[in-house]
Amino acid sequence: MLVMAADWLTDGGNPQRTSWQKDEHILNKDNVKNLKIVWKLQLDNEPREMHSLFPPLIVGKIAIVAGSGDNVYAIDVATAKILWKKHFEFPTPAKRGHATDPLCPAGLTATPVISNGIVYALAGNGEIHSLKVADGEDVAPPFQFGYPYGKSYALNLWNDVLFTTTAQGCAGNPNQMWSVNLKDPTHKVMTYNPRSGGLWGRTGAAIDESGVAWAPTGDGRYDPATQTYGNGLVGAKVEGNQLKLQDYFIPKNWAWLQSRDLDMQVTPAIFKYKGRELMVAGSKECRVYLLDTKAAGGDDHQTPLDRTPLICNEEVNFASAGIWGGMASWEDAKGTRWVLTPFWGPVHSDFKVPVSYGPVTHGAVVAFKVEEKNGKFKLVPAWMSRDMDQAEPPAIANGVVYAFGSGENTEQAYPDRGLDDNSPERIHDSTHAVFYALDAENGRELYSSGDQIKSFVHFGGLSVANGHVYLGTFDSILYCFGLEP
Amino acid sequence: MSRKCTKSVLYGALFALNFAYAQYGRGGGDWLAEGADTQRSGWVKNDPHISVESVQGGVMQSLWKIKLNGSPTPAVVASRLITYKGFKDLLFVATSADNVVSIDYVLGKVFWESHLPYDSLLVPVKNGTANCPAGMTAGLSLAGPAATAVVRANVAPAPIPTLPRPKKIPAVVYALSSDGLIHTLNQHTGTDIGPAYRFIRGNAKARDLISVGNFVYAVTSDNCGGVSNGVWSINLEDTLVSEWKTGDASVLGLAFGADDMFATTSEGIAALDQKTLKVKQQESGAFGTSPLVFKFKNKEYVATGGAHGHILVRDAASLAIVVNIPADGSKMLGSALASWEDAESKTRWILTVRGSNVVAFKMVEENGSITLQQGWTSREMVSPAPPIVVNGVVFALSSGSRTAPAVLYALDGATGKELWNSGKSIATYSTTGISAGGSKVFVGTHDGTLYAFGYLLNRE
Repeated sequence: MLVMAADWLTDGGNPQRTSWQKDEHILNKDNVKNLKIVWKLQLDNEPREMHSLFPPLIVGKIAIVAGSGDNVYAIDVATAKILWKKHFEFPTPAKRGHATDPLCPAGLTATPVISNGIVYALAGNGEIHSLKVADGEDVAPPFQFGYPYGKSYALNLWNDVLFTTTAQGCAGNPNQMWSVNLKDPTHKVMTYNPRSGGLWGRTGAAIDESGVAWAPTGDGRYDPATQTYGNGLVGAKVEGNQLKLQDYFIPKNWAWLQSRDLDMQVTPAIFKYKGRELMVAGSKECRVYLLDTKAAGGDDHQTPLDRTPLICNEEVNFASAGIWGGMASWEDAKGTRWVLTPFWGPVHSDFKVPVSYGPVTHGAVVAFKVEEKNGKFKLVPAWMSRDMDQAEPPAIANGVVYAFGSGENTEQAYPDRGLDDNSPERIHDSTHAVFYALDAENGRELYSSGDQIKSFVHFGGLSVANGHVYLGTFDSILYCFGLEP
Repeated sequence: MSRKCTKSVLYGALFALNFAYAQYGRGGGDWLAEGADTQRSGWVKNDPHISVESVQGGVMQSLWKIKLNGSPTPAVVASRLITYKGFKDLLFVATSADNVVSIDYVLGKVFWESHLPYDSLLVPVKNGTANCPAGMTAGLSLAGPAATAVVRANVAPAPIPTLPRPKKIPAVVYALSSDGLIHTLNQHTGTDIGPAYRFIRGNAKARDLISVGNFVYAVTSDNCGGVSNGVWSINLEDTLVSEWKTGDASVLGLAFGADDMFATTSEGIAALDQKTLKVKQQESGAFGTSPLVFKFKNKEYVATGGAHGHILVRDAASLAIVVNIPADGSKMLGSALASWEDAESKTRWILTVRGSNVVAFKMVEENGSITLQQGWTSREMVSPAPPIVVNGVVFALSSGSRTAPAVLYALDGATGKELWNSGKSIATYSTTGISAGGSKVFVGTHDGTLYAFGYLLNRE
């Protein structure tokens, strides 16, 4: 009998986006070698461009899964039965991204968030729906929270304020941070625009203990005189009925990042360490930055607490290399604080890590320990995982790191055509995801799904709760890994 | 579903791109061919980092050097290319070894290198002479504009862009190999996008390769390899080659006006039809420089240097001489001129090497006629190469000699004041001259080393 002690209520596990499931007590590093697919469920979600199923949310016995075809499913995790399904109907919006553009799918793109038994889901037409977890019924009328087909990123929730971010200017949607107070009967939408490229951290904004929502900004200039904060990380907070910039961090080499499209586009992970609240973020350049949420980048906004050397992307490629998606962090029983980053492509020839597992050519997960000495903070490389085909953000639970290579073809440019990012070709050239369990202390592989997963993952992610690890794939199959019943 | 491109489709797409590319200009300080543009102005008009003030402030740095296989031609520069290996800022050089090399000019790393195999029944020349060097002699040309509209005069340059618009589709680089074939190479890969076409007989001494629309042009001199001296063009749509033979007269260079193209030879100057190469007008005289086309007060002019050191400015429409600056004693001019216009004062400057100096002249209109007033004269240099201009900064190269290495100088374009020099950074003498782009100046030396100086982008 499953003991439902753990939930996973938002993308990244919590508002801080650490992807650390603290309440997992079933799976551990001794038994995950026995993982199997305990069920898989074909959903009737229609993929849109390369998008399909977003990371499942877990509340008690129910998994809530959103799909790109403007669907939300509630699934009994014990029986793999669909409890209810909600399909959002709306008139076809006037604007949408051009067909075959993987950047701007026409449909639901934001992972929902759950609070107090209510699923908040952002439909493709930009309306927020408030659905009862128990039966999917609307508990309140939907309200507008963005542009139709505007490609919003994962929702986050803090003290009744809902956050999202937007990127790629899909359907004319501005690239900015969005918030709305659910208690406000007028549902006034509050935005903050850093005048940058898209805010396209995979799991949207991460929220610190002060309620500041942190999101990476895409390619653009840094010019504080004009409140322009491209290629950095911005933190904004609701004050009154406005979303206002609180702080920001811009790497000193932002112009280089801009010139080569190596933008910061990774949702940070926020955590406590020795009484301070820190966060880590990364970029396609392939470095990890350690920052203090109370003074990100210090007095000049450009000096992190620490910055790793280049981990990957020696080729300086904007497409199939670098850190993508999000970060992760957890603390072990000895009080060691760990930071995890995925990366794509070959490891940098100059990057040194004490423990590794063979050549890395397609991507891997790297673990760092956070250390402090005489007031100086450092990210110390600890281990690098085995090679993974486009390693995605990991999750951690009970001493086990869960990771996966998406199997996605991530090429956007071709020798004969230059830039030609198109879904049909990328879908055709994608393979399949492989799910791994690793020893969180040393990165040793404890389990691999091998060829069991049949499709790739794009904008999906892991969720862990109550002895199960969930992953949805492009073919709209939801996989549930666990132990023998 | 995988999409495949046939070569013909690709050619069409690339030509279409070249045309489209010309419609909004070449941002970001690209350097199209020898002399920078079709007018051979030697002028980078919009650069975000190089200015008199920034050079005085220390912006010029020695960035990198790369040893190449063979002596390099002047670099051509294309920035912000979205390649299958990421965004790249590339320069391209040909070398005497029939290689074409692409270098990421920010990183100072070779991006690709292609060897153009010798494909001719003629025996290749292995050991050249000073007059007829062996191997590839013509510099490269990027895909040029569809039409040859002359640089606007009396109009301030466009606002300096923070970053030029990225180029999403591979454009091409044209290369004339020593066997006389014209190659059309994908800028992203260095591979021929189609067959190479017979253009000029092998082993010629060719120069001034330049692409305009669907035509590629070059000139030949000194009857090297038994090749006729002349102006050559190839229409890449039908591979038809046209030629204007100049007999014993070596062709020194060519430049494009709004309607005609102009070629100087050792015996005269001619205005040619751009498509047929038919002579529309010609004037005799002993010339020593390639032509330079510019506009002043909304009229088009052609400036040339005489073989004996005088400077002539002609009305481009009639080839009538409107300015004749006599020689300064026995001082010879360099092989090319340069010209730029001060955005604020609207002063049009003409630059030339004269003897051991770079000399700057101002175009002045007095009582309805124009003349050249001497502005400033640089310090003495050893065999100075033709100067170039980036924004308002003149770069002059003391090419050096077997006993004196080359030195690059940055001069205030308005006063000639020396702002910076490369000191001892360059190890030996230069035979290839200079070009610029992407806030950098490139110098090749006789030993096959390419040097880069300029703005250092903080990558750390």
